[in-house]
Amino acid sequence: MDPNVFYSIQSGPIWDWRVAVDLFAGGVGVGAFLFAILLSRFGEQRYQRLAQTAAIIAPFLVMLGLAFLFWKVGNKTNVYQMAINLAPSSLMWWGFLIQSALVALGLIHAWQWLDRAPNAARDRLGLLVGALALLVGVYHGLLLAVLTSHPIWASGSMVLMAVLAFTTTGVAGALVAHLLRMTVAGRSDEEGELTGYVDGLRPVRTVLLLALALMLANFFFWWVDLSFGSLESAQALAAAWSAYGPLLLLAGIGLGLVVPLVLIAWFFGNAPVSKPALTLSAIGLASLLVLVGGFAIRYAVVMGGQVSLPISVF
Amino acid sequence: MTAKRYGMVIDLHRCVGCAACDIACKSENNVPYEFHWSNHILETTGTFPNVRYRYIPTLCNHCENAPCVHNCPTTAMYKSADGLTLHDADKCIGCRLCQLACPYGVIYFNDQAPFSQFDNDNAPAIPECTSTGQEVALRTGVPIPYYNPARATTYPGVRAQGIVEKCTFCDHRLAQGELPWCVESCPTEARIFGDLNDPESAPRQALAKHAPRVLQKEKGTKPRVFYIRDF
Repeated sequence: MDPNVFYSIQSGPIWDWRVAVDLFAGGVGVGAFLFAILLSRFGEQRYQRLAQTAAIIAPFLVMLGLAFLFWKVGNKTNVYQMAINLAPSSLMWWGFLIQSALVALGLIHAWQWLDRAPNAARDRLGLLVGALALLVGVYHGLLLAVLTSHPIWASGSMVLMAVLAFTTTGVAGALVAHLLRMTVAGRSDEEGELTGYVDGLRPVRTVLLLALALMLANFFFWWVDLSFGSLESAQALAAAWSAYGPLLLLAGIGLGLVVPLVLIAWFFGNAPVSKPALTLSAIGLASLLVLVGGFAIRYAVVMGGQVSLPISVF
Repeated sequence: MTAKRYGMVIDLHRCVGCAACDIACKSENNVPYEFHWSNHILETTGTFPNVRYRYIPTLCNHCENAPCVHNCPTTAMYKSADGLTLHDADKCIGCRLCQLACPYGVIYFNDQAPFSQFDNDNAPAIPECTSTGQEVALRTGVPIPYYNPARATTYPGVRAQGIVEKCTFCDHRLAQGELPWCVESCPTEARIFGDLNDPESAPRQALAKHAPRVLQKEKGTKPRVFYIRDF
């Protein structure tokens, strides 16, 4: 018979939904930064307005995430201590430095993007901002993955999930924001006619499809790794699944990965775009679902990773 | 002369599970309600009549490879020269990463203001019949909330809202050449404390005599709280 263990430690999740919001909003921001930079370097002229939207929302999304993290911190007046103490062994300390730099430079980059005209200085800064954004995106996964006392988090899959999540939600966030902008402010002349505009988005479709499919595969390997790993990891998975499994499965994987995958593949297939307005609406809906699912995944992972287990004794 | 390297050995054969260490720690360190710097795991195995019961006292393991220290973004958690894992309340931002990193559940977070338990104890169990805890305390003049000023010599006597706190091996007592209060209070001398760098010290002698175990060895944290023998 299994031992019955009682150990009264502090109850409740240590990191709550505000941390999930930080990781989610930060991820969308990071993805939007990278999307903007790639579009500005490789995209046609008609997508420079989309790049502009992405570049402008990105730093504000990262700041939004950090604002939620600041709300969560218990002793807010001491946050400056991170700036005056060297803690190179702490990933969070590195995260603080990199995100501070990303926000500062990202705001300058967004300011430079107010004018869509080609700008060499902006492109140079974009490279630096892109590198920082990539680091922050990886940091969001590593922050959890280094906590080896939480088997749900402590794996390479967590880092890969963060990278794929910022890729999908970043692109989706930028698309949703830009579609809203197009709805409110109208399309500009440089964006051209709708059929060509939608058709030209095929590389974006490919990236989204690939990232969504990889996320599904990553979830599968993560589940296999935990299920057939140590007893502790299998117990952690069972405990997390019983509490947050339905949310992850229905909202995260179902609504956030499978449905957008089908929508994008169906409406944005290989055939010539015959109904561009409908296709654009489908892209908008799929992007919205990716965002909803992206938050559900972050929330389920953050909270599920903290479901307490019976402590192992000797 | 090498620096001290403090450690504790808990002799589970001697431990009777009286929890005197838990109570002693609370009074010495002004530990809040429902916080347990000194704690215990209860483990029951088997079915009647073949039941095995284990009482395993726990506290901060003052790990050599302390994950709370490695992860702290402000160096609020740090290792002292004599190997203690200590907490600088003035640097703590209350991010609680140390709590997440610690596999032993021995770090606590103050989400309430100090003494709020006392301040809020103003509802009688039976209205118009019994007194509230606050009334009893005030009318009898007892010093509630209890406060030991000695604690405040090396660490805030009462920790502020929004930061974490944990066992310090009673560093304020060590500074005076005294033993941790849980060690002094153990009626069966099950807790053996001293310098692990000294081959003649009581913990080194105990470790030489009995095979030691540590909690969750596989985590690689190298705890400095060792368990010997069994009940």
